[in-house]
Amino acid sequence: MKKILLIFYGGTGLSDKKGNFKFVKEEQDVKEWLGLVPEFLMTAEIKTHVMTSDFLNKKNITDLIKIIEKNISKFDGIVITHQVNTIPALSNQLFWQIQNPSKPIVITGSNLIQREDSITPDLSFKANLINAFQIINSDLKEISVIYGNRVISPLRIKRSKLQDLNIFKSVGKKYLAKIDFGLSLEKTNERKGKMKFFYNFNEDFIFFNNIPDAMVLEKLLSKSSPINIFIFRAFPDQIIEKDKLIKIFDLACKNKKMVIFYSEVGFGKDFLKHNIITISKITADCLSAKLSWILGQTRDKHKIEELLKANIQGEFLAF
Amino acid sequence: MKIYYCANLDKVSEKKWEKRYVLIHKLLVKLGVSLVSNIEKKILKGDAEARKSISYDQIEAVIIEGTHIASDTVYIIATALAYKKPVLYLIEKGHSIPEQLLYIRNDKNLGEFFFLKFYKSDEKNIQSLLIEFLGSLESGHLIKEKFNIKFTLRISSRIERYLNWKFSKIKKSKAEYLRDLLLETAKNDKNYKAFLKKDHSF
Repeated sequence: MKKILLIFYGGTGLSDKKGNFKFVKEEQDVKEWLGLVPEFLMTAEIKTHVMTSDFLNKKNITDLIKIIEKNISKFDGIVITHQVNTIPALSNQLFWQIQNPSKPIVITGSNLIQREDSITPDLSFKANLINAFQIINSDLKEISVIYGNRVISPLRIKRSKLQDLNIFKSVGKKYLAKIDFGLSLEKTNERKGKMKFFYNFNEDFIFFNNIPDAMVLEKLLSKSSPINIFIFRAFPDQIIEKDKLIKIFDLACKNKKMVIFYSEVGFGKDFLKHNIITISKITADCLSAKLSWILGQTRDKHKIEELLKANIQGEFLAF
Repeated sequence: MKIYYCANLDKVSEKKWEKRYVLIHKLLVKLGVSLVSNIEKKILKGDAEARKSISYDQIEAVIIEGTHIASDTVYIIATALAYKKPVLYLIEKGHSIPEQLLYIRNDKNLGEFFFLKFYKSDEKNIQSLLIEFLGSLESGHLIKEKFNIKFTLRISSRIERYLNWKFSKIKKSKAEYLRDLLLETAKNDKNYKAFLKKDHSF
């Protein structure tokens, strides 16, 4: 049997026979919780660790990386539970902070189902965990997310449904594996390189899901503004009409701010004639995690731009 | 009734086991079961029909020919048990129980839905085990019978008038009444009873 480290980092909701919610918040909750899932113990030898808090913040992520680095050599793989709302963000951050993992690291979690008069945990969580253990058995040396019958790479993951067998989809419909009773792994290019752990990452930037109006921009991009790096998601019409974006970019440069324009699908060719920074063909979660990783390695503007544009871990996709 | 049937695909290259797996598949189909199977593509050689994705909550039970346990079998069993789906695990007589299954047999919570049966390699014996298991499923002993198969029935206005009159007399919904009527018919159908007990020879 494989030896698995199961890290509880939120997303642990299970219901007992009486229909009560059971969560793992502290070590003392583990025994009762595992008693609800005897099926797990037939599939793997499990050791557990409980994170002190469920929140997705820098301190917890750093602690999580430390636990993974300390234990990865002792186990055949690691399974992390986490609340489904922030699984894309967590998986992407780990994707950048732990590169070329030597063992499978699988993330999954419990969803909450809204019924007419109650909220209950999704019963498929048990199956998600069993599937996660099966991925460890398959030796898929990646950071991956399993939910429903799909195994998804962090750089492709997007939340597509509130409630369903599969609440996440993979950009380009490319999955690391699918589980239809049995596990079928897709062929992937095996990444070369030694496993690396990065503890430095920096979230001193703001990601706007649109471009604010001129008055707000003046304040955001002013010299006195405490934030120096911005990502603005460009509207579809702005990816061809670049004049507005150039004005914003020039204002930012004047005030020594860094502005990055983002569009999932791409920008018009005309943009190449200007030194405006545009990033596309990458998911928002992945870009956000990548930038925070970059800012943990360098604050040099040219280096930041160079790394942003470099395809370091296959993160640029065909949309 | 929808059943997932799985066999060890690594053993299919051996004639004896290919024949055995196919036999069980054919028996199940003959017994009127709606099957999802990992052996389908192997036996439908040349038929390009792809197996649709199906989740555990859409099946009633899992049947495994597990004389030689496959690497993913324990996960299939674990998931089925997590969904409280009965599992029939078949082992040819003369072979030992795989070590991975000892845990289930010793755990009273897991053992409730796990049925391990040794079978002789003749078709009659295999069939009788399958009939016994399917019978337990249908009787509601193993699982509470669910009315989850949708069936569209078009009726004439004459039938509709009769049904409206009938429902006004009895305290049941239309669906309940029709289901009970069909169950009663099946119960009294001598030919069907004979079919269930029939001695098939191959």
